[in-house]
Amino acid sequence: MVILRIPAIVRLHRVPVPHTNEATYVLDGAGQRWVAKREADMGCEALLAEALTWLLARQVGVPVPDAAFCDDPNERAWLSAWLPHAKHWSAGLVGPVRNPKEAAAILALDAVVFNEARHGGNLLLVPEADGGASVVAIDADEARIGHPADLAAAGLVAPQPYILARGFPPGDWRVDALAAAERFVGLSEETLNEMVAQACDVAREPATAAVSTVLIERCRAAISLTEQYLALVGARS
Amino acid sequence: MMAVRLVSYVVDPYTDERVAVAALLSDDGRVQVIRALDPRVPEAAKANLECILRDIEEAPRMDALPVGAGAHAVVGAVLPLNLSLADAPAWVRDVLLGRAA
Repeated sequence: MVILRIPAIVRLHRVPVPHTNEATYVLDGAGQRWVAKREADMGCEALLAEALTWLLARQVGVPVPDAAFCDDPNERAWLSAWLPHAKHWSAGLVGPVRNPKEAAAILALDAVVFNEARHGGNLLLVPEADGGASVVAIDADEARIGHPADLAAAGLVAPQPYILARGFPPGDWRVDALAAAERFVGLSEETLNEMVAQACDVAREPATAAVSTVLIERCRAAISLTEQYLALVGARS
Repeated sequence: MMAVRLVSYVVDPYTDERVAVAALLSDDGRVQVIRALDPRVPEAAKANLECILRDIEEAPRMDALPVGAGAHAVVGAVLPLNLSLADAPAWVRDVLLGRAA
């Protein structure tokens, strides 16, 4: 799994929805359409979180858009492929989720990277003609894996679902979430170190060893972390 | 005073292609959603548009669209409407949205 490098982008205009960090529609030289968030706007920690979470997501089968990094020194932006005709999560979703196994893995991913920002704006729905929709996870810039020292100090605890999207998950996804957690447990140290090296290179994070240590520890504890997180999610009023 | 605000579906944010798909019609604080009869959006957009309109209809407001509507839905300026309430919904649907679409 390799993060694609894009040498240059052309900015069009901002995405007209609330974001923690400014998002912009951009095109690359080949005409590929992306949504960009600049390191200058979100910080190198958020860039590390985006890159590492995306690599993990792709490795364990969490539905996320294609991604890339624009390494033009004047831009330095995380790029997420634009998904046409997708909307944000809403509790009033009519019809079934078409990819529940993959979508349930979002819960395990968030438990591992300590992402508390899985609100409705960070879950896309791609509606289908028959009334169902596929769920796609976006925006991991607030995952605390971007702050490895803080996360290590916090210990093996799950994120709090204070702002988890209302109505998510829409069913009992426990079995599938735990199956995804097992896939995290199964990731080899070598694979995780490769991901960390790549993400740290993108974010210019020198503390590669510290990131590796906390990530390996959390992946080894993925089942327990996911269990904790699911309990907190289930206890929401 | 009644007021109306067009809701457009952004078919392509990169070219800014958009289609008027509905209008928010307010009268004395009450807001209703008037759908365009046959909005000319691509087939691939229809399921998304239907979800967006249902989201808006769940709790229509003049000041903003629900966050769940996402980036494909945008609202235009608030326009004053000097019509009787009985005439307004049909005028908005047949004339305003009819022309916009």
